[in-house]
Amino acid sequence: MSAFAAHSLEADLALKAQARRRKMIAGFGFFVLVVTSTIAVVYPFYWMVMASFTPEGYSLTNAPLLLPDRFSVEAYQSVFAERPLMTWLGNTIAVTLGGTAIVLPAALLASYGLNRFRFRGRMVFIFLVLLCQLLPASALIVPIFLIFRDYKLIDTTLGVTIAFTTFMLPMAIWVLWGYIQTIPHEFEEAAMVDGCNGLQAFIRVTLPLAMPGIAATALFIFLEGWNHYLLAFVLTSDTQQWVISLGLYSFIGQYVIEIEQMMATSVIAAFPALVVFAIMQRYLRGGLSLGGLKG
Amino acid sequence: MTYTLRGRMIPYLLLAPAAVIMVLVIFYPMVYSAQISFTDAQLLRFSQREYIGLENYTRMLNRSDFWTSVGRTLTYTAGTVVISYTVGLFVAVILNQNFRMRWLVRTLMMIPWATPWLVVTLIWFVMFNPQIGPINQVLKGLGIIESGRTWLYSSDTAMLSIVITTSWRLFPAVTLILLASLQSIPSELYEAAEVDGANPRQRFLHITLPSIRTASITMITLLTIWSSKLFTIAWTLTQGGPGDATRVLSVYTYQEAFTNNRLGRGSSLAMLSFVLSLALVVTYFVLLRRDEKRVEP
Repeated sequence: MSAFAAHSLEADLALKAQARRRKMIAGFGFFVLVVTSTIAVVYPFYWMVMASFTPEGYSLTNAPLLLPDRFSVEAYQSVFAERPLMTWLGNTIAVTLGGTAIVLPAALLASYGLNRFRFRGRMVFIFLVLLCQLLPASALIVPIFLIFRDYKLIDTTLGVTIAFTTFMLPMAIWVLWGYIQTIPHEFEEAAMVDGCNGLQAFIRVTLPLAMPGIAATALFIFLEGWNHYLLAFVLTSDTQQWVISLGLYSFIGQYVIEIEQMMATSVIAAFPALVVFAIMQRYLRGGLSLGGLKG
Repeated sequence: MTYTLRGRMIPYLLLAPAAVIMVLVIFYPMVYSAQISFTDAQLLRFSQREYIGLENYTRMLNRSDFWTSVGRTLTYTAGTVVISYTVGLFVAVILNQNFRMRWLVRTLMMIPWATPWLVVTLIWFVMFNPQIGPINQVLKGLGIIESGRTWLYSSDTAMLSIVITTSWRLFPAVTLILLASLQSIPSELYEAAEVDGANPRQRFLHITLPSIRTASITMITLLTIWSSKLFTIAWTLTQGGPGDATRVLSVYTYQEAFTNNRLGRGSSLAMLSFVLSLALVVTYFVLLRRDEKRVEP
C-alpha cells in the first residue's frame, strides 16, 4: 500500500515537473510573440518620433533604425519658421469646431426623435442617414465644388466647414442614437408624471444623462474632421486656407525629402488626435456599432 | 384635437434641422451631380455644357480603364479587409490571455488607430523609401530580399504597400471589438471542452470562432465600407500610380473630374462608385440575415 503510494507520488512529481517545463516553454514562446508583434505595430510610429528629433538631413545619410547618435529639435524650429503651421492648425480647429457646432444640436434632436417616437417616415429617415454614411466623399466633390464656386465659398474656412458637415452629421446621428438608446425612457415618464412637459423632461432629465454620450460624439466628430483630406483638398488651393492634412501632404511632392521636418510636423499633427483618442477610449466601442441597424 | 396634432408633429420637428442640413449639403448636391452626369460638362467651359443622355455611362462601362479601376477597388478592399481582420483577430486573441503589462500592450496596439491619416501616409512613405526605409533595411538584414525594392514606385508592389498601410491604421478597431466579444465568452465553455478532450485548435474552431461571429460580421462590414470608399491613402501615397496600379474608383473620379477637367464623366463615375458600395453593403446584410436565420431556430 505504502509502496504504491510512494511510486505514485514520484510519478506525480515527474509529471508535474514535465508540465511545468512545458508551461515555461509555452510561456516564453508567448512572451516572444507578444513582444515581436507589439514592436512590429509600434515601430513605424516610434520611427516618426525618433527621426523628428534628429538634426536636419541626418536620416538621409545615416538611415537610423533604432537610436540616432545625435539629437536636435531644429526640425521643430524650422517647420514653425518656414511653414504656416500655426495657420493650418488654427484652420483645422476652426473647421472641426464649426462643423461640430452646426452638427451636434441637429444630430441630438434627430437621434432623440428617432429613439422616442414611432412615426410615419421613420424608417425612410433611418435609411437615408445610412445612405449618407455609405456615400464616398469622392461622390460629392464635383457638385460641392461647383455649388461652392457659385456661392464664392472656394478657399474659405466657411466653405470647408460646411463641406465637413456632409460626413459629420450622419456619423453624429448614428453614434448619438446608440447612446440615447441606453437611457431608459422611464426617467422621462416619471418626470412627466411629476408635472414636467415633454420639453422640460428632455432638458432636465435626458440631456444631463446624455451628456457623456454627447461629449463622446463631439470627440468622434473632432477626430473625423482632424483626419479628413479630400473635401478640403478640392475646396482650397490657397496655402493660408489649408487644414493640417493638406499641410502634411505638401511634404510629399517636394523635390528634396525633408524627413526630419516631415516627421516633426507629423508628431505635431498626431499629438492632439492622440490626446482626444486617449480621453474617449472607453467610448470607442459605441462609435463602432452599426447602430440600430441589426434586427 | 389640437393637442394630438401637436403631439404628432413633434418627431418631425425634431428631425427637421438634421433633414434640412442633409438636403442642403448631401441630397441637393447628389441630384445636381446626377444631372451633370448626363451632360458633357467640363471644368473650363461649364456654362456651355450640353445634355448628352447616358453617353457618359455607356462610354465608362465600355472602357477597360473603368473596369480596371473597379478591379483595383475590389483588390484594395478585399486586401484591406482580409489583412486588418486577420491581424486584428490575432492581436485580440493575444490580448485575451492574462499576462503582466497587458494594459500597456493593449494601449500601444491602439496607437495606429489614433494616428491621423495623413500622418499615416508620411510615416509609411518613409517606411517604404527604397534608400533609407527601414522595411528594405530589415528585409535585407534578414536575407529575405537581396536588393532593395521600390515599394511604392513599382506596379507589382504598390497595391500591396497601400493595403499594408491601410490595414496598419484599421486593424486596432477590429481588435477592440473582437476582444470585447472574446471576453464575454464564459470560461466554463472552455473548461467543459477541455474535460471532453478538445485540443486548443478544436476549442478555437468550435468555441471561439462561433462566439465572435456577429462581432466579426459587423467589423467586416465596417471595414468594407471604410476601405471601399477611401481616397486618402491611394491618392496621397501613390497618386493612383504607378500607371493605374492603385487607381481605385475614388481616385479615378477625382482624376477624371479635376485632372482631366471632365466633370460630366467624373459625375457618372461618382454615381457608379456609389452604386458599387451600396451593392457591397446590401450583399453583407443579405448574408447577415441568412446567417441569423440559420443560427436562431
